[in-house]
Amino acid sequence: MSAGTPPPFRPVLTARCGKPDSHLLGTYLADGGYQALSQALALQPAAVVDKVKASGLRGRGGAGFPTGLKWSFMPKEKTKPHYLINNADESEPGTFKDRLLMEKDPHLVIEGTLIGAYAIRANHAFIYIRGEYYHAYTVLLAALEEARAKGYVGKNILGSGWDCEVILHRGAGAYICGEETALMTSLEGGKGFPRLKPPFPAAAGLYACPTTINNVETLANVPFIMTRGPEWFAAIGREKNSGPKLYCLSGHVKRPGVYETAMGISLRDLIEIHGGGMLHPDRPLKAVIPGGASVGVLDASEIDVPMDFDALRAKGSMLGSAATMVLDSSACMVKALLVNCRFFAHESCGQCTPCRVGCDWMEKIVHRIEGGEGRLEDLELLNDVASRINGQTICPLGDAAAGPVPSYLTKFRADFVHHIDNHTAVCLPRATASR
Amino acid sequence: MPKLTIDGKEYEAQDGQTIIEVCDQHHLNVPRFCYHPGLTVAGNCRICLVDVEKAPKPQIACGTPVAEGMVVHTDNDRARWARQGVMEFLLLNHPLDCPICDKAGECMLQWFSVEHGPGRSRLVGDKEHYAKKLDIGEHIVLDQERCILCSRCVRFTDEITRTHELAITERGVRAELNVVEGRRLDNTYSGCVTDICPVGALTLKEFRFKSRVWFLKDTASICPGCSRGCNVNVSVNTNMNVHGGRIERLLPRTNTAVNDYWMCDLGRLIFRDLYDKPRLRVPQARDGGELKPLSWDDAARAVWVRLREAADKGGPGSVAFVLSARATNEEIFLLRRLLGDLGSERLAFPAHVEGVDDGLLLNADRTPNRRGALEICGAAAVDGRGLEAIRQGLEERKIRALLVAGESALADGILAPALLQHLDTLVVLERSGATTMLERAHLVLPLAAWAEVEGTWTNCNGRVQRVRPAVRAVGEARPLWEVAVRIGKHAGWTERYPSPAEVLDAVAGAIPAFAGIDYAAIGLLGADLPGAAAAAGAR
Repeated sequence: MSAGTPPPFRPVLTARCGKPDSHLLGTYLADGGYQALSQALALQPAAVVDKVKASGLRGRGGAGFPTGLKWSFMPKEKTKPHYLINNADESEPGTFKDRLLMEKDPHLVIEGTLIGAYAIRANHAFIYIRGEYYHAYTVLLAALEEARAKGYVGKNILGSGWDCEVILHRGAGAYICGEETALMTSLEGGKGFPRLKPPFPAAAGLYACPTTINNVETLANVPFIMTRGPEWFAAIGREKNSGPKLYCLSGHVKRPGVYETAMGISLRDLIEIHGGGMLHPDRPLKAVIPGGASVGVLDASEIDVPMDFDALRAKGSMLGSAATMVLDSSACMVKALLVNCRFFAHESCGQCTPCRVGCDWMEKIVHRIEGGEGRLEDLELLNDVASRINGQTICPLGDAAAGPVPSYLTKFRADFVHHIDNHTAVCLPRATASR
Repeated sequence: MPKLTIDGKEYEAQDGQTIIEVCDQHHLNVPRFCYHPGLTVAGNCRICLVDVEKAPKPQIACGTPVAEGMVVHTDNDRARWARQGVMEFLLLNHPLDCPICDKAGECMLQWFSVEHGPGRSRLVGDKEHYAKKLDIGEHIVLDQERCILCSRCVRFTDEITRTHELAITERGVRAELNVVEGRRLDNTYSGCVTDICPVGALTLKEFRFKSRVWFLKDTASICPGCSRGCNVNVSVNTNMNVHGGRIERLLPRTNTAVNDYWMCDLGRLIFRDLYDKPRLRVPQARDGGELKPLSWDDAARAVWVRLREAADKGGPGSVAFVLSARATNEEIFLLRRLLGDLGSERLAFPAHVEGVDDGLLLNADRTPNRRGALEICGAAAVDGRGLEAIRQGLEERKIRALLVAGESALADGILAPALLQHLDTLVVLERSGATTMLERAHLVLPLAAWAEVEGTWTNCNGRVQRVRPAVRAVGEARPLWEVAVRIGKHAGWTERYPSPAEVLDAVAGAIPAFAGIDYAAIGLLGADLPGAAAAAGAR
């Protein structure tokens, strides 16, 4: 944690998750639910935006864009319907935080969605939920019906005169539909192809109308900002990286799971305190992927980094979706990269050339190396192919596929050279240090 | 009006223009595959990446709106590097079967590969393979392996024809172009997808393996299929070993005032008529019940003498002309003059109407110059009254001499042989033989066909456009205007009319609707009749 003595952190977003019947409206109301909504409705929408701006809340979906600022991009004059989309297409490998919220505290998700919709003066909000999240879908659907029956969703909400319909839509199993514009195309009934920007969603998004799209966790923070105030929020974590944060810890740790801490916990503390340390005492830490498959990998020497947007960016990685995947010395980083490349090659929508062809080519190259048929010059080739995808594509999937590649090649070169030099498909012996 | 700098030079752009539009306007070379000015921007091929100063990464010229003070480099190291990467990706799985590909020679993948490609592939191992030679429509064959998934054809069927037959299915490197399940690419503009396909993925069955494109010589002309007057290029094979002198295809020629970038399949394949029917090759005169060849000089004299005789004997109105609205403005004008010299006004243009206008390009009126006929000869000649009057005149045997030019098929319709048998003189000018009318004709003169004549047509919106000869007329067939001039010589005409240009000058002088129309000024894209410009906007 940063300088000073931080107050002991008490879970905010997940505070209700362990309670019995936490998904029901009754328990939600008993815990003070929907009070944030009524407070928000007493304000002008612009005042809600200002509060969120003041809190310093940054998007939890991966990019870390300031939420209040994003909301303020919506047109001042409402000439067309405005839409809010809650992006619940949680598909980044290693990520399972939104799922917890939706399954255990669906009314929090709905309340955050409603406040967001009110702030941008929308009368329709969409929750686009990953198709595989069937249980979360049924829980959310039931919660929506409860909320609608009690007047939290629908016409004249809480007597404010403001109408808002919330529509729950299931995706059909494409990673790319988590990309904001592909999600909108999909929601409109089209094939999940990302769109060119400009126009940006705030100008022409869903059905060519001004649209704001936020992540589930982002919107779940909003009710607390309403009730506890932006100052409370801004005081948690580090400057510009504030608030509570959910981390999805997985891999070779004793206790994988979703952990909520103040933003900016050190990676070491996350693994050792929350994760209970490495799974096998005789297998030391080798690498950590801190934010999902799209981000650069860290080696064992880098784990004192605070897990927030700016600190990880400074390390050449990203917080992403905070999907923290821990790999011990038994892991082959060639294989790890192959898994990554295969994922992105499979999930590339195929619309634009560099991503369509390049991701598949990268997979082929890494596959060849992993199978013991690589050449030393393939490392340079891989790097070059990645560089010709990165930044050249319609949407960030290409960047996600290509961006992490150099970190694997430079930090774990020995793993690659081992396969190449020995013409072997057998990985580097696990006891050997990675560098 | 933002000002921007492209490759060191300042340009003024329109608000809302994209970089590629400004580049195209100023003839700056930016490669493209998916971008097409007639379709929405997809931005998927990425070959038009340019370096925009202050942008963190290369930007696509097709999808980036210009902004005040923008500095664009289309050919610096960064732009070249980005494009080279895209070219290598595009060719990675491309079969490179150029030697057997119809598109070779006019393939954008070839052009830009030479200009921007790395020249070699770094792929180790096998290319991805996809289906080749899929029969997806009446006229279209699809080769998925050559396809670069630019989606031009998909957007064409979505946005222009709105028939939605094509789609890109699957994802990533498994993505492929195909027809939607259970459908075929069978819309009446399907051939256009082969024009806009930047590679050899979509080819026209009627052109497949007919000719290497570098043997083709294009002539800018006008489609004769309907009153729209779509601008076309007529491709003639110059390979004397194979199909020398033969028309191999028609391609739409861009004219945003008429047909944009498109043409219908009916027009595209209309040239085959030239080769499907036997052509008349020499002038013939009936002699003892049989048609026998004679020279053009004799034929022209005979036509005039016989028509004059009929006019002198029967008085005004004893001579009638049936002309075709497929004739040029010049031809119609000269024949009307000839008829006037014979003291008659009995003139008619049969209608050729099929179905209804299709709302895109193809009009129900299947003649290319009805508007010209209307302006030169008046409404009664073209609206059926003229033809009915002629039929009546024949029935009442008041008409003694009839000249039919390009409409001899009427003998199977309104001008039945029974009506023709009492004529003193029947002159038939026609392209192909084997019509019933020829059996009654006293003089048969062979006409040059559409791709063999020069002149102008006036389209449905009053746009005067030039038809140019792409091939030589067969045998001794001559264009109608030239035949008219030959006959006119015997009628005592003093004008020389060496070419249609001089005839059009005469039209412009005599017909108010054509005032100010100048042959040379019509150029490649046509000229609106004065007063027709406003109507043309309503297209």
